[in-house]
Order: sequence, then structure tokens, then C-alpha cells
Amino acid sequence: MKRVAVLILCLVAYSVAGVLELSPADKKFLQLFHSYVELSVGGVSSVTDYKTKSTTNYYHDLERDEMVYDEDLYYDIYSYEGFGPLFESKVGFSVVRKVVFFLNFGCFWSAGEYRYKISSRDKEEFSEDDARLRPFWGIGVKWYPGISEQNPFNGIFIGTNLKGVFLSGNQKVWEKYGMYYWDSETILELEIGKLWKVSERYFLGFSIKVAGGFAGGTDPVDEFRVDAHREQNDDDITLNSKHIGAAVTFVRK
Amino acid sequence: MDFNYNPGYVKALKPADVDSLEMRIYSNDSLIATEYSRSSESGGEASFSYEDFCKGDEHAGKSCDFTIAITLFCGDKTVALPTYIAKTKTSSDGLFADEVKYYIAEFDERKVSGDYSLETFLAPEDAACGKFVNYAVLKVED
Repeated sequence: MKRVAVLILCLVAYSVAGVLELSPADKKFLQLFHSYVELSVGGVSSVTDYKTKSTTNYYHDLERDEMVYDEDLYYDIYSYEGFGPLFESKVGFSVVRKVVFFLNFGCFWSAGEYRYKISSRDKEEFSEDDARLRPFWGIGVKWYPGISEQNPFNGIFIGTNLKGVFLSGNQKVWEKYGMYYWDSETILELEIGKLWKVSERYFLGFSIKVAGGFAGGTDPVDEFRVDAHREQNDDDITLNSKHIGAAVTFVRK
Repeated sequence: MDFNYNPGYVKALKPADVDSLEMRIYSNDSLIATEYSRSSESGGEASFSYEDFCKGDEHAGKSCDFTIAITLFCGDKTVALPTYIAKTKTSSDGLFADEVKYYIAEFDERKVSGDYSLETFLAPEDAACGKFVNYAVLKVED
């Protein structure tokens, strides 16, 4: 028993001595955690569509002054298509240089034509050109499948993140058209890209982003009221926005 | 005693384009209440509560229906709307009526919040005061 204990002690001592003899570059490579910083500058194209499904399906046709039943009736239709610049930063850490956990924050602009319609049966539509700032923050993860230069996947990454986006313009929608929608949205983004080594820890490349946004309608209104805006059903929380973007990406890892 | 008991009611709000509204409530062909709405402002509705008419041993466990007859007044014209029967029931001990609530008003779904269902429209046959095609009975669910 004593001999076994001595043998184990010797093996441990040998292992520790082996690590101490590693070159600084090897030690750095073997570290479990590395800091990670990423900056991206690019653009994003967005399509958004907000609408509320009617619960009664009755529409007051004012021209004919008749109530019309329509199974596919929607109210408060608010849509946008456009393009704007994107700035995004990610800060976090990588695990053995392969998997990155990060917090991200930044902003993009939604510049283009905003269209409004009170009901899906209305002929009248309003539109205006506007550029709205969309600040966001979120969390995400990114995977680098290959980290050695011999690996054919070296520099390629895929990732995903979940971000909360502040929709500043939705207040205008309420004030001008009585359409009440939340002023924030949750976006799920998928990202793919490729980096090239600039120096030991610095990389430059590009990323392509595809995202979908989900938002609800109003805050819950518990009591019955006929003089307020209607309450939107939970069922109405749907895919409201779609985004596709591209960016030049600079990474320190 | 159930202190959370909130008796059922019928409330009717006059359309904006008429001078006043009269709501008569009948039970077993007898007129039991007449209420008026003369203002479109909040609180200006004609309101009737079942509480005093649908309680007691004689109603215990039985249905307790009310016929609602609404009349609109505009200038010298008088227009009667189709009647609506509000159905409710009293508990087996006769102490409580169902908490069935009806709200009758011009209906715009975008301006109604809360849990409700649309029962029917009460547009008058005589359009002397207006067509009021969206004048509706809403059953309040909450």
C-alpha cells in the first residue's frame, strides 16, 4: 500500500513538472478560458408585420353602413420594409477557443416606409417614411469548429443569440393611429461567418445574420371596458419581424 | 354569505346620435324596471341589477329570465329596438343569481377590452334615428 501511494505521488509530481516545463505559447493555448471581444459593422434588411386577429370577426363597413362577417378579419395592421446600418459588439469568453459565451449589445436602424391600416377590409392605408433606432442587448453562444490552421473549417463560426430590441416607433403608432403594440421585441438570431487571422489574437472576417422577432400586443387589461383599446390575445404573439443582415467582423480572442 | 358575490347586470349606453335611451326590463311579462341613458359619458348608462329580482326561495335553482326592451329618442321620433332575453339562474339555495353581465352599446372591437362575447346586434327596423347596425349585446365574461 505504501509503495502504491509513493508511485501515485511520483506520477503527480512528474505531471506537474511536465506542465511547468511547457513553453508560454503552449500554456496559453491550453488555458481553458480566454477573453473574447467582437465588433461588427454592417447592414440589416427588415420586414415587419404586426396585426391583431379579430375575436368577433364583425367589421363595420362604413360606406354601406352594414356589419360584415369576415372569418379572416384583422385590425391594427402595421408593417414596414426597409434597410439600415447595424453596429454590434460581443463581449464574453471562449472555452478552449472553440465555444464562446457572450453578451451582445448594439443597435440598428429601420429606415424605410411604414404602412398602417386600421382593418384588413379597409381600402384606406397610411404610410410614412421614417428611420427608427433599434437599440438591443442579449446573450448568445458561438462555435468555432476548427481552430488549427490545418483544419478545413478553421475560422468558420456559427452562432445564435437571443436579444431584446427596443422599438421606439411603436409609441408613434399608438399616438397617431390608436394601434397599441409593445415597444419591445425578442429576436432570435442565427449567424454564420468566416474569420482570417491578422495576428496571434486578432481576426478579421465577415458574418451573415438571419433573425426572427416575436412581440405581443398590449399589456393585459383585466376588467371589461368599452372606452379603451382592446386587449390582444396571447394567440396573437407571432413571428412579427424577419431580418437578414451582413457585417464586417473584427474579433480578439 | 359569499362576500365576493357580484350580481349580474344589464347596462345599456345610448348611441351617440340619439338624445336619450330608455331600457325597460320585463320578467314574466311584467315591467319590473325602467332605466334611462341620457349621456354618452362614462357612467351615463341605463343600468339594471338582477340582485333584487332573482333571489329567494321561489327562484331557487330555477331559471330567471329578463326581457330587455330598448327605445331610442331623437327629436320627436321614437324608435324601438328588437328585444333581447337575458337568461340567468338562481342558486339552489335561492341566495344568489348567476353573475351574468350584459353590456349593450355601439360596438367597435378596437375599443373594447376585457373578456366578452358578442351575443347579437340590435339594429332597429325603423331607421328614423339612424341605422345603428353596430348596436350590440355583449356578454361580459370576467
